[in-house]
Amino acid sequence: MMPETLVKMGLKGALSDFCDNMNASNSMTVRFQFVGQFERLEQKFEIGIYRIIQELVNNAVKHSQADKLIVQMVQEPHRLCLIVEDNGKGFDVSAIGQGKGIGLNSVKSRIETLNGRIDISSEFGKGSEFIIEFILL
Amino acid sequence: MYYRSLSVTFVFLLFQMPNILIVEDHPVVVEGLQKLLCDKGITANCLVANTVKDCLLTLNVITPDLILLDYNLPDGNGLDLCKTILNMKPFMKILAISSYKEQSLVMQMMENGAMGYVLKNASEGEIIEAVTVVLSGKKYLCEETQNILNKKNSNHSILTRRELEVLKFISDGFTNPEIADKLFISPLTVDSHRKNLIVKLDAKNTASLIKIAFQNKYL
Repeated sequence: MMPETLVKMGLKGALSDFCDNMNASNSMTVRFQFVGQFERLEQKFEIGIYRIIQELVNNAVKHSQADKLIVQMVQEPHRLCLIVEDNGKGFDVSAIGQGKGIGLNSVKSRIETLNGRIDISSEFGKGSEFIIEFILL
Repeated sequence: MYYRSLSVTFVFLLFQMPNILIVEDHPVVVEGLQKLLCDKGITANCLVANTVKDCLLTLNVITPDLILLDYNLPDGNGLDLCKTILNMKPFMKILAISSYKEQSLVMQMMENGAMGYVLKNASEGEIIEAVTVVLSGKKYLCEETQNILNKKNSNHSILTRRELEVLKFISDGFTNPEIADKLFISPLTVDSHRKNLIVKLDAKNTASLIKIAFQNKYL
């Protein structure tokens, strides 16, 4: 299933709508922020990134106990950066890949297939931050 | 004599009535719109185009007073078509009529130059109102679209907690690796934050970033 907005509008519109819907359907405040110059990307790439953000936001809703979450998309001609930041309880980043957290493992491998880089940082009681970066050719 | 003047009046009325072009590929919808517009006496001349190509061909020949534009067309979409039409005829009044309720789509349609947006499930009265308002040169959004757009929270750049931390350290003169060390994140991530901050605050480089951050009281 692919959201129609993704095909029609690309990532910016689709992520914005996704965050609006998440915001409306959960007690957590979910915001989307776009900065930079929007351009459409290859469809396979757009779908991949959309799925990754979906997974990260759903994870946060399920586990983080945060009341605020912000998804940011920064697009420049040769760079795309996505940040998902929450103010939840945080988790042990070193535990990823030790059997638990299959979701994050799949996020990691998906980003690698798209030639991107992800960096995860989390602090107990303060929140977690996922930064994903792609170099666009 | 009486009949003649009547028919003259009639022809005169026809000329006075606005030409409306309906760009829509579903015959039943076209039929319904045509009937509605004629019955309510808005127009007697409804032109129809079923495809993007059709629409552009028609526009080469005539200039209608209003275009009712659907989003989904067999050979393209209303968003792009809206732009193309306005490139050809910058003063064309376009009223989008669609079943899509996504905020981003409505916004993009209006950004692309449409003067109004009505949902297909709007009432007869609303559609007539939309047509009349747009014909008079004003903007119109049906009630439901207005609600959709109002939901949009203000979207000016806000800096996140992490970005503010990085900004603070940059202004204190620390290098990427030093900041990375302090925040327990990778130097590449610090650099991502730095680049994002530059885009967000519309700065040219790190030096002007600090200046702008001070001016906007982020520091």
